[in-house]
Amino acid sequence: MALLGTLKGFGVTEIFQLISQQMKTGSLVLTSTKATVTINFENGVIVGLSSNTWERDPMADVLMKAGFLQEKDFKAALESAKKNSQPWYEILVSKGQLKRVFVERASNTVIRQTLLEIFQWPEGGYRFEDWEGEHESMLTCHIPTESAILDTLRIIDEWTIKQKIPPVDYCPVTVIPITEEIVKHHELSEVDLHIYDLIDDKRTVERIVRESLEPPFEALSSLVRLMDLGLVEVFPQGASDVRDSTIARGKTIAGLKKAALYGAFVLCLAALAFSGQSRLLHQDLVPKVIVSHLEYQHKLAATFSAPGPGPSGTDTGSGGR
Amino acid sequence: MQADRFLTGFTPDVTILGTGLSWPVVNAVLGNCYLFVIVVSLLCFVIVGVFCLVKYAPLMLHDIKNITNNELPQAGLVAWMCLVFALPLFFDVGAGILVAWWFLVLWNYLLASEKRIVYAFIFVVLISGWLTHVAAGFITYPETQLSREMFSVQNRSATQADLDSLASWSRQHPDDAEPLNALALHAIARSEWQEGIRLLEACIDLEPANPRYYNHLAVALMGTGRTKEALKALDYAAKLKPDSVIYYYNMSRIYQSTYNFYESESAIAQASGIDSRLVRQLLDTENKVGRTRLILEKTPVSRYLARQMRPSPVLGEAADALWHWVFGLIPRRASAFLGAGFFVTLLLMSFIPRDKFSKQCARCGKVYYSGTFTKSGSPMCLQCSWLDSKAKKQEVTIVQHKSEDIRSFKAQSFRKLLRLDMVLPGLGCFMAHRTGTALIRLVVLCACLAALAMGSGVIVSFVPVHVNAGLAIRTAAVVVWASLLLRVYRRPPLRFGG
Repeated sequence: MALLGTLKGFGVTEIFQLISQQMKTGSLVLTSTKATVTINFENGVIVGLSSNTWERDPMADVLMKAGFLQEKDFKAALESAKKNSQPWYEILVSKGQLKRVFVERASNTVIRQTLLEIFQWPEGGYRFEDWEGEHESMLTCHIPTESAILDTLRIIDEWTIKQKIPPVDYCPVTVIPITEEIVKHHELSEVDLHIYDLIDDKRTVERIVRESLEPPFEALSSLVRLMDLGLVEVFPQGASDVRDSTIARGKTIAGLKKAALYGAFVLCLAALAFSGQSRLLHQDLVPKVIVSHLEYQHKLAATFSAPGPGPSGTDTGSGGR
Repeated sequence: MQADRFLTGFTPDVTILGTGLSWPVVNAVLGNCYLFVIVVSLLCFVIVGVFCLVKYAPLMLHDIKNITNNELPQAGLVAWMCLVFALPLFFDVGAGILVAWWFLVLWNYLLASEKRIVYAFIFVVLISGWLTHVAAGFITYPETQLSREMFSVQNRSATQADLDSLASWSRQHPDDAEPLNALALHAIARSEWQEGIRLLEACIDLEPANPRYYNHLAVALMGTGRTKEALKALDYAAKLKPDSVIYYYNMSRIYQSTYNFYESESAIAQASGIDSRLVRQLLDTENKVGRTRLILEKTPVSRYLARQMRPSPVLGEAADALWHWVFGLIPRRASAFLGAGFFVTLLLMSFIPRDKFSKQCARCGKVYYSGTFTKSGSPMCLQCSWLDSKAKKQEVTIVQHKSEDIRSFKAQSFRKLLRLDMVLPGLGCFMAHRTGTALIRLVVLCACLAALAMGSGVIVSFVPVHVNAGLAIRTAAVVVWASLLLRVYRRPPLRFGG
């Protein structure tokens, strides 16, 4: 056993960084009250990941939810896999029932999602052990550790988009067709375009995220971005027939909001201008009281500097009395 | 006996550059220094408020756009923000309330070092009533507590109106000894010895531990020929203030007038033991006049300064006007409540979670919500924090990309911040989160501005002063300003490649 401790003293980021810097090979076992996650490293690169919360291969769940895999096909593939000692997805790919790109995306989604979860664990334990070799439930991958850390931290940094995520059962609809100009102007990414392509009148937010096979955060960020840019709007499921009227109403409301914004601004400005008593308009630069005191000093100074003794006859030294 | 036969006059003033440090001169110097410090401090707070606006208004706009889901036009939001920031200008308020409002609106965006400036501002608001009282005391110095009239009596320039004022004041304020002393000095000068003795005895009744009154009483008694009583009074004065030359000197003069030369020599030796130079000066003056004469004491400058700070209607009115000029909206007596209320409001606002307000990473310039801070307290996104904590930079593509982002942000910021600092020294450093340096540069700038505006001073001495430092002060301000700009150029806010 090479390394052991708690996440309170030494965070996940630091552990990953240490393993990456020293290009270690071995298994990092992270435990918390929620789960136990094992991550395999080879020369500091993440090569595998497994969790005790997975009842079966999580890739299969992702693919089934996305509609790219049927339950019966998966079971059949699983049985064949046992006989042929091949991964189940390899059998489906060889049969042409599943595309390899989907498998890779599903794997990427599961790994990114798991990493995001463990990076946010407030407490738990860790131990870094010698290489145990891959076991059945281990998801294989090849992700540079720095890349994993930066991507995960970026997600945590930008997590405030959570407030803008629409309900999962709502249906996004496209409002404006995407042109090359729009893509260039708004610097839309491949994920943004992929999400945009998946949007039709029927797919819900949840389904779009699943079918995209992108990590949920990436997919939802793209959706929110498209909504912010006014390219996409969301409506309750089954309301596509009222879409046009809703869009029209939305445009009217947007116009009203603009009018209200400027109207309220002008009203407030007018009210403040009339009811307020701005000093800039009504008062001198320096208060008159202060000016009069300062002027009095100058007047006195002029009196005192005038030639001749004072008139009272208190000139005790001159013997003038 | 006629007064001019044995009175030399008053104790000589200490002089600097040929100017006697009499009360009006000291008041003018102290008052102008005080006003200078106050003006520089207020100017600093106002400009820090402007810095905060420049630095954090874009982040606030970013947050408002996010809250409103980007549905509202940016021009409208900017207009609303301008209205919010300018809100106090629609009312009868001064720069103090305007800056307090800006600090309040931007409070949750401020860094810890910037918040410390706000705490200093709160402290100034809390004591602002007292500060304006002192400033008003300096400004109204010739008009309150009859100090000017008393000074005139001691400087042989009092008019009958001054004497009438003193007499009237003494009737209305029978517990005030100084005007009685002034009247007594006037009586002594007119050889009205009995009147002088009566007034001085009244002074001693009010302040029995003031040796100056015993000295004057001794002079008055000497006028009536009661030398023994005069010597007794001087002896008592010397006991009260053993380090005073004047009492021993006067004692020696009285002994000499009664042909008691041994005691006279003994007293003059005692006086010389305290300050031989002053004794020599007094003896030389006496020799010039050619008569044995006694010395009266002027009211100490500290006594005048203490008197001019006493509350009075004139001072109160001036202090209210000053406070209203700087703050306004509420009366001066509520200044402590204003400060306390401001502090409590900021305290309550501190409970709003920090991640509700966007911040700009000091390393890469990315706007983020939940991140961390550098060791110096600058905001930093988690990615940069991770890069920062790496023991050694690895040759990994992803790290190189991020490092490249940081480098390009620094390259972009360098010229922008330098330009800002050249236009308004301190602004560039403030934008680069170097609050300490920004504050130093700002203080120097404000001092230059205040010196240029005030010149040789706002408060003038009513006693003629032949030294005019206005041109020298303004020239020094210009030189310091130029040096500041040179310093800014040589030490830009951001070190390129650092």
